[in-house]
Amino acid sequence: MSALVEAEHLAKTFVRRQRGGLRQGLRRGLRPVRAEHRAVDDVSFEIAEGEFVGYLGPNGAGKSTTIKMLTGILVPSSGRVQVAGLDPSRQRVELARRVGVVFGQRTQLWWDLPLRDSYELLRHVYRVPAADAASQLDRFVDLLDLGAFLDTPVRQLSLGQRMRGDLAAAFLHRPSLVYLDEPTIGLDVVAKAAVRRFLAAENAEQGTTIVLTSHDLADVERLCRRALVIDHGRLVHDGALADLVARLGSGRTLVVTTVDPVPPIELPGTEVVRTDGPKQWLRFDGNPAAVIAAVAAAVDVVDLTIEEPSVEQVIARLFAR
Amino acid sequence: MDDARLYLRLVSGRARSQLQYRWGFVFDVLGATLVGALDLVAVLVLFSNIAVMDGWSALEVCVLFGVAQTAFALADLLVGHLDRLPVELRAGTFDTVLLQPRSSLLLMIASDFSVRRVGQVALSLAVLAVAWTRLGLGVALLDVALVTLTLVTGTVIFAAIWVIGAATTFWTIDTMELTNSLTYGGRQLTSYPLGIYHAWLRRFVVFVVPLGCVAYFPVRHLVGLEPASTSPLVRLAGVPAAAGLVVVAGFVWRAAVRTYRGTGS
Ligand SMILES: Nc1ncnc2c1ncn2[C@@H]1O[C@H](COP(=O)(O)OP(=O)(O)OP(=O)(O)O)[C@@H](O)[C@H]1O
Ligand SMILES: [Mg+2]
Repeated sequence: MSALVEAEHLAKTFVRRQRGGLRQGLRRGLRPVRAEHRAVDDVSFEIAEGEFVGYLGPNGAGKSTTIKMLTGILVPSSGRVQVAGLDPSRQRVELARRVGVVFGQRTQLWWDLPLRDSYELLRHVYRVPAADAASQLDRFVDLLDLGAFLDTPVRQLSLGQRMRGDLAAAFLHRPSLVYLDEPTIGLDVVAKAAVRRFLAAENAEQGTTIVLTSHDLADVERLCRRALVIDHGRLVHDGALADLVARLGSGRTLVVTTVDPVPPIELPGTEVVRTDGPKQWLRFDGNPAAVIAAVAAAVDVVDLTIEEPSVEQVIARLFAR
Repeated sequence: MDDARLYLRLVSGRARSQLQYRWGFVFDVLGATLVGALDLVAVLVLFSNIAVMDGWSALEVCVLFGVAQTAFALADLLVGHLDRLPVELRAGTFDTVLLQPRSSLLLMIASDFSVRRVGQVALSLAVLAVAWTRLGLGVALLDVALVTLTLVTGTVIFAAIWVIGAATTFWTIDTMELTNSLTYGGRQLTSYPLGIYHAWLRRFVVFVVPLGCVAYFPVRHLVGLEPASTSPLVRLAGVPAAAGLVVVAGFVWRAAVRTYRGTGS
C-alpha cells in the first residue's frame, strides 16, 4: 500500500513586490521590484497511515506553507504532492471530506453563533449523519471539556475555549488525516494537557493520522514518534525524534547545588553554561555517572539533578551548524 | 439540491444572528430602503420636466424601473456581500473556506445574507405592481411568466457580474470598486429605456456586459412598445445572457481560486 501523504520535490515560491525607496523607484522607472522567495524548497517525504508526525522549524521556515499545499489551499510552484491518492489542489473538495485542519490563528467556527450551532452547520457542510455527529460530539465534550461553553456564542469564548472548540470541529467528520498548525497556542497548562490527551487518543484509538506543527516542543516530545524538521524551506531532518537528539549529542545538563557558592567547576568534557549563587549548570555529552562522580569528588554537593535537552535546544543546535 | 439546502441552512444562521439586534435591524432596513426610494424620486423628478422618454411614459418607465431594481436588489441580497472578499483575501481568512468540502463560491455566497436589503426588494416590487396596475396591464399567464423569468435572469445577470468582479480581486486586490460601479451603475442604466443611450453604449451593454438584457427587451414587449418587426425571441435575450455569464463566472472563479496565495501565517 502506498503512503497516505507523498510529497516529491515540493516547492512554493512567493513573488513579493517591493516598492523600494523613491530614488530606487525612479531609477527603475517606478516599476515595483520583484523579489522571489522560496518558502518551501525541494521538500520530499512520505507519511504512512496512522503516523503521528511533528513538523518543526523556526519562524518562517515554511511549515504552514507546506500544510497549505497538502490541503490544496495553495497550488505548488513545482514538485508533486499526493494525499490519499488525490491531487490536493485539483481535487480539493473530494480531499477535504477526509481531512481535518486546525490553523491556530484561524477559526472555522461561526463567530456569532453558539458553539453547538457551529457543529450543527459543519455537520451539514461535511455531510455527517446526525447520529454519528452526536456521538462524536459526546466524546469531544468529554475529552475536551466543552460542556461549560457549548451554548456560548463563539465570539464570547476565551482563546483556549475557542481552540478546543476548533479541535473538535476538525475531528467531527472522522477525518483520516488531520493537520494541526500550532493547536496549543495560547493555552494554559491544564488545557494543553487535555488537548494532548485528546490528540493521543484520536491517534491511538481512531487511527487518525496526525501532522502537528508546534513551537511548544513539549507537545512534540509527548506526541510525535517522528519529526520532520524544516529550515529556510528545506527539509533538514526526517526520522525519529530520539535519533535527532542522538545525532546532535545528548547535550544533557547537570544542575549542581553546593553548600556555599564556589567558583565555576572545571572538569574535562563539561562546560558551565550558567551559575546562580550556589547553583551551577554543567553541560556534558558523556556518561552521566562518571561526571557525577567527578563533580562529587571536586565540591561539597547538596543536590544534583540531570536535565534532558529540550527539543528546542536540539533544534537550535541543528540550525546553529 | 443538497447545495441549496446547505445554502438555506448557512444563511438562516446568519439571518438569525442579524435579527438578534432588533432595533439595529429595523434602522438598517429603513436606511437601505430610503436609498432605494431616492432613485425612484429621481425618476419622478425627471418626468416632472418631460412627458415621454424615448417614447416611454412615466408609468412605463416605472415598470422597467421596478423590474430592473427588483432584480438588482435580489442579486444584492444574494451576493452583495462578496464585496468583502478582498478583506478576506488580505487577511488570509479565505483559507477556512478552502478547507471545507464544498464549492468555495457556494460557501462564500452562503457566508452572509443582508436581511436589510429585503426592504429594497419590497420597495421595487411595489413600484412594479403599482405601475403595472395603473397601466391596466392585467394578469395574463404568459405576461406574468415573462416578468418572473425576467426577474430570475436579471438577478442571475447582476449576480454573475458581481461574482466575476469579486473573482478578479484575487489578482488585483483593489478592483472591487470597479465592479461596484459596474453593478450599481448597471442598476441605473437598466432602469431606463436603452434608446436614450448612445449607440456604442447600447451595443456594449447588450453584447459585452449584457446588462442591457436584464429588463429592457421583455418590458418593452409587456408595455406594448415592441416594434412589430421584432422577433419574439428578442424578449428572451436575458436567458442566453444569464446562462453565458454563469458559465463565465464559474470559470473565472475557479481560475482565480487557483491563484490564491493566502498570507504568511
Ligand atoms: N502569502 C504569502 N506571500 C508572501 N510570502 C509568504 C506568504 N506566505 C508565506 N510567505 C513567506 O514564506 C515563508 C514561510 O512562511 P510560513 O508561514 O510557511 O512559515 P512557518 O514555518 O509556518 O512559520 P511560523 O512558525 O512563523 O508559523 C515566510 O518567509 C513567509 O514570509
Ligand atoms: Mg506557521
